[in-house]
Amino acid sequence: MTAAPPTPSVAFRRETLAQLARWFHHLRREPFNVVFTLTQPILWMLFFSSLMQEAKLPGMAPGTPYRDFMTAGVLTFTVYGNAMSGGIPLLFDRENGFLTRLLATPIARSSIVAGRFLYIEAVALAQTLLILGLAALLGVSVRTGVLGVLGIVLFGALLGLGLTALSLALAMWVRHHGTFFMLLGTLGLPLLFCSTALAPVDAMPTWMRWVALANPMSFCVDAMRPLVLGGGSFGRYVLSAAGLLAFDAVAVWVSVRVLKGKLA
Amino acid sequence: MVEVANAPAIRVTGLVKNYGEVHALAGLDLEVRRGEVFGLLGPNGAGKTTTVKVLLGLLRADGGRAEVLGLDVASAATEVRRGVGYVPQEITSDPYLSGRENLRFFARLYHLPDPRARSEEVLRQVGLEDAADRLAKTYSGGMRKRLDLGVGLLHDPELHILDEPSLGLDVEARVRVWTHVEELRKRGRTVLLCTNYMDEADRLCDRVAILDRGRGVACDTPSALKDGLGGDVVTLVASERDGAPPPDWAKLLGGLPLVRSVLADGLRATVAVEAGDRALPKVLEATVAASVPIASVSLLRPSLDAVFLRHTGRRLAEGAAAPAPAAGGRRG
Repeated sequence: MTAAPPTPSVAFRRETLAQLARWFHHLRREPFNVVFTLTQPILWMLFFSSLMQEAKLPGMAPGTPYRDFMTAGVLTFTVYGNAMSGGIPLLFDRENGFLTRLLATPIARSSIVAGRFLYIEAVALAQTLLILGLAALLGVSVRTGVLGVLGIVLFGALLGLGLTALSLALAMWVRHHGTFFMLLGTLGLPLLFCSTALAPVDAMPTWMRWVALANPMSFCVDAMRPLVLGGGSFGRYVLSAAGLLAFDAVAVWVSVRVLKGKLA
Repeated sequence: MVEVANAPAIRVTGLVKNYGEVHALAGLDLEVRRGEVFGLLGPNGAGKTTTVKVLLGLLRADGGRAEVLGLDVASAATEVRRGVGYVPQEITSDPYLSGRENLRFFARLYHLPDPRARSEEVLRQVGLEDAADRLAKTYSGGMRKRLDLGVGLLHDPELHILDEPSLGLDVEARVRVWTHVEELRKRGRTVLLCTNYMDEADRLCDRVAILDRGRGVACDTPSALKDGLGGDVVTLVASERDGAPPPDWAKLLGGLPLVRSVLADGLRATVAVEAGDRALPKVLEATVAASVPIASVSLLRPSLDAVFLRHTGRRLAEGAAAPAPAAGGRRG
């Protein structure tokens, strides 16, 4: 019954698309999972920015409303939440035996990762546009126009790549989903606070400044912020892209090592 | 690489797999012929699932060699998976997909020429057409197991590996699984059936290997395994006739083929025989020919449980007791 196996590249494409379709079926059946990941960024956008409306932090350009300043941070945090939770369904597939069933088919193991990755990136794109829409309703416009929006999507995808890779590896590595959720919950806020998402580095104590400068979330925020507010430089974007690419390279390397062992 | 047509369906030699200090497989040897239903019988932890995972290339063995359909699993795992339909112990259909979507999903992963048409065929085969558009999470346990069996049928593989397929199912669902295995046999497919249900192995399998602590301790047809324990026992009770002496059981039955010994006790005879299913007709023919009226007759056969006890010194886990279907004969 099995047809002659297609060439490896055709097989990989078909297998990836089949698995991508599976995740979209899940989205159709359980849309609240995606909506839920949007709740936190929206709450930050509504409440925290209102709270800090009058804030004048060192390093903030004079006259910049805090809501405008914070938009890039919320976008980055959305990418973080979506990408880091990307491994959860794979973790459940592993725990309920579906992954074993999948691995018993003659598919390329990489298609499991590719299908999930494409899905997360697609959702991240939709969420980014939704947040930008919400920001626009609150009076924040992207001053660099359509190109700026494209840039925001691109930098979000670069951060999402590395984080998704780490999330998928973590989903394969932890023994139990409780550990995964504990790590996710523990890492989220410190990474957010120790980044430039909510405040410029000039407003941070020295130790925090060093962490923020090395935090991949800051690379993303530092590129997205001038795209929202205007006034960015080419060098700034190149530096951020280089930092994110370096982070992606390390994350993908770690992930491949873990996944190769686990997806035998 | 192509599969070797005349090779056994499965050949395992000296297979070793350790999890730290635990020896899951301790030098397992196994050969499954093409077209047979072969049972791997053993309690939980005997090494059945580990064997299956090695055969599918999902676990790397620490020693020994495993060949499936003539292919070395270690070097040709993808080709092996193409020729095997695997139904795992757990229910693994995706609960958020409908029955139809589950089948189409896997049909696409097997690169079938027409995934939609093939999924419809399989839906009919496993009797899920009416529930095809319901989400799998709304199915009963038996329906989900049927869906899993359907996934194993999609690419019509030469070899089917069913790992504890009736575990946790009710009687009706269990009978359906058995019918499924019988149909595979009729179509000439090879089946490796892992089970810790004695009656399941006895009824379905052409040959059975008994596994204990990662080693095969016995392998033969269920009949031969049971005969190896010393045969079956036929008990005859003659009707009482006024003034007539009891039959001379030793003279009547002692010389018959397959009869090992006769213990006479008045109207009752306890006859030790080899292969009770073949010996019983001969015993009855002899008594009828001698015009001995029979009040009752019974055949007692040793169970595979007794075989397991003989070879391992232990009984199969109490948990292996399964719901018994009301109808259905026994093989062997």
